[in-house]
Amino acid sequence: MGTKGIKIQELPDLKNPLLIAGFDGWGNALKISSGMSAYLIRTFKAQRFAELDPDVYFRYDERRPVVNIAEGVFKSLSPPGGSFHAAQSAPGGRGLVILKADEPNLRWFGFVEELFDLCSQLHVETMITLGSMYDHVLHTDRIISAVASNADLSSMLKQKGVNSISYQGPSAIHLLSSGHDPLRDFGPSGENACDHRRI
Amino acid sequence: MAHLGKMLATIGGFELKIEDLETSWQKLNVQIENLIENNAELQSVINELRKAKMRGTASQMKGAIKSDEKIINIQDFLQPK
Repeated sequence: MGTKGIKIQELPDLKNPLLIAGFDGWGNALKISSGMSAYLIRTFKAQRFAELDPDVYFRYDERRPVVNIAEGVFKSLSPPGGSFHAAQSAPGGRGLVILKADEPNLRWFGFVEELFDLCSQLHVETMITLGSMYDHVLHTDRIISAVASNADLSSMLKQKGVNSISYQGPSAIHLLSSGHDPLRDFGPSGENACDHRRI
Repeated sequence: MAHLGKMLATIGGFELKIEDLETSWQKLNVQIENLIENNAELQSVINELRKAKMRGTASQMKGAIKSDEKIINIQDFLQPK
């Protein structure tokens, strides 16, 4: 679908990989989503293997590139974007694919399609996207809620102490990849399927 | 974030050390508790939340709080602009 926006340098060879995605932007209260993905990259010394082309997925007038100018001299420019990182969670352990990115402004369905293509190439069967919201809760409360792509997953998450969510309203990009993409069947039994959980 | 990391590792089936996340949280919690101790507005909000929590679930708590009341982001107090 259209211009490719995920630029792959080299596909990693991973055992039973799990994709974890943390987006900056909407649904990143206290930077929990982007912070956790950064923490995972740091902890597992994950290696960068692909990145988002900012020209494809971002609006620069919405999310402006950051420039560095020193004493009248232009030094650098950092556009919005994101990158994919790969690691083994432990010797012989399962592989991790970690996406740390700004939430795209444009072409969400195209982004999700490319993301699922990448999942297919890497044999990723499960994807977890991370989010965080402000709410009327105590700072000592530890509340984790999730949306799953099917009832079985939702039950499994409940058994592990994760609250289920009932919600109607505006969405972040996370939920486009939850199996309800009208442009493509991402059902959990399909060839390119990823079980999807948003935490 | 420590709790999220623990849950993520459980669900994802991998090992993740969260000791430094726990340590960071404990330090932050000390800062927050100090702030609450010295701020009447925060004390009032925290007390209301505690009372509402004792009365019911988080979703019921929302009903107990007036719709025009804002959510207090503790970060605003920790990092005043």
